[in-house]
Amino acid sequence: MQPLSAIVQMFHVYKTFDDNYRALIDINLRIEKGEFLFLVGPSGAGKTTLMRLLFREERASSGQIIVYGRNINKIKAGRIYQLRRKIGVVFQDFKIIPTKTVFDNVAYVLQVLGQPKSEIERKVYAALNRVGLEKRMDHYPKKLSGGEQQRVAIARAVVNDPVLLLADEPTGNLDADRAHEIMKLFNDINLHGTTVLMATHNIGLVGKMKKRAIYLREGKIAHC
Amino acid sequence: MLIARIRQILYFLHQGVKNLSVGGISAIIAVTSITCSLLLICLYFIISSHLTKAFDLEKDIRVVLYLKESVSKNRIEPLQQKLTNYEEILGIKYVSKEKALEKFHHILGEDAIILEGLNNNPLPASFEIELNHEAKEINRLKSVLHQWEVLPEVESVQGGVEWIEKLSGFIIALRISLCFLGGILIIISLFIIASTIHLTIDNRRDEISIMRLVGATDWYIKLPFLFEGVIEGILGGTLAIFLFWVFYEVLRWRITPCLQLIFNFSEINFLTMKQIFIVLLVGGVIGGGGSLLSFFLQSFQHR
Repeated sequence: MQPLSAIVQMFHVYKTFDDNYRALIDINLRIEKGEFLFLVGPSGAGKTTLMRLLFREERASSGQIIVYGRNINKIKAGRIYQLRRKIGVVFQDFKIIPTKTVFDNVAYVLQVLGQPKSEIERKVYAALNRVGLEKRMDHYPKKLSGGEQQRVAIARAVVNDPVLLLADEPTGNLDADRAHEIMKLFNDINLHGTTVLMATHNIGLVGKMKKRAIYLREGKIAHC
Repeated sequence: MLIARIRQILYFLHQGVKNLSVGGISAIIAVTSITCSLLLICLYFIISSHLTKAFDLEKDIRVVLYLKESVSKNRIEPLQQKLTNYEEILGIKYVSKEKALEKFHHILGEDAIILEGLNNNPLPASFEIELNHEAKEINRLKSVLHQWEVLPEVESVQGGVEWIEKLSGFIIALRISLCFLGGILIIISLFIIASTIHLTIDNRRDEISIMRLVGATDWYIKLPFLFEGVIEGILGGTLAIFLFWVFYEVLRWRITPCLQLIFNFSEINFLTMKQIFIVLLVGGVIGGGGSLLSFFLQSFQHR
């Protein structure tokens, strides 16, 4: 079997919501393995919808989406978890569980997979070390700053070594310094081989990173 | 592999207990409703197991055939022979007029003095017949008694058909009432548990969406809620058994003297181990059923 060169392929993808709002129109996209790609555009351009299609939170109205060699439109609802175990997702609002410690928030992913305790401890410690939170693993999220909470979310997203990391406006709630730290972290994760797709409306940030970017406007790819 | 499975089951159990502990008032209402339903089941068991004893149904039915005054002694033996041929008869005993008077004398004891004024023996000769279990079936009993009633030697038959008919009706009515009431309470419990679980799921919607996001299977998410329902059911069962035991202990001493007077036994027995197990099992099934109902209603809502 040949190694995969493209992690994501989208062919003529359309997404129309129930109220006939066309969120995505004829999207054709290819993301190579190990690539760091920005999805840029103003609010309402369709960035989040495109991300949600990739981890099957939404289903494309038409067109084909191949993720890691699998046509995800054809995955049955009961099998979506298999796709999600290969993908890490980071959101603007962190989405971490406030009643769990930093360690437990990250360990959760591996518990879901039924991994042994010793393995969970090793991997969680490594992930927290990677984002610089190993000394705060017993803290609860409310005691952490916004930047630290986002780092917990990143540790959770990478703890199971995903093939694709999706980040939807991960620096949207952070000040410039914290945003810079987070971007460095994503760059580091990408350098270790994980494909990263990041949605942002911060064009300045994209300029600094010198990575390929796709511009979305009113649901269409304006230019690459 | 086995250790991983055990670990996961322990995790589900732990989550189930945790859900229950944060459930508050709704969890208390759910457990209380199951307790009420199961108290009825306990009552059903106690009543059912004591009915037969109470009304002496375990013993064989006795029928007395009173003979006419005109029946001569030489006709007794052929008649006894004829009756013995009935397959419903377990035993037959002839009681002569003299023997009947003697028995009556014995029953009256010191009051037997009232019999001294009698010029002749007013008591009829009779056959005391013991019927087997097959004859307890009411239609069969009626048919046999009717056949004996029309015999030329027989004056009257005392067989207690009416009593058995009334008793059977009473037992059936009692059982149906308890089943009906229990059934309604079980249905109410199911819906209360379903709404409790629904509330818990609603409260943890964010956590559940994160679980789905990181690749948790549907059952990994649902099982703790299923366990929550089962634990609520077993808790309700345990509480029902405990309350029923308290009720039993309090009443036992008060009603024991009456039992001997009214019925043929002097003590009410508590639930057997098998019945306790059934109560707990039913509790668990109601709880688990409530959780499944909640999943079903939610999937229906999301369609």
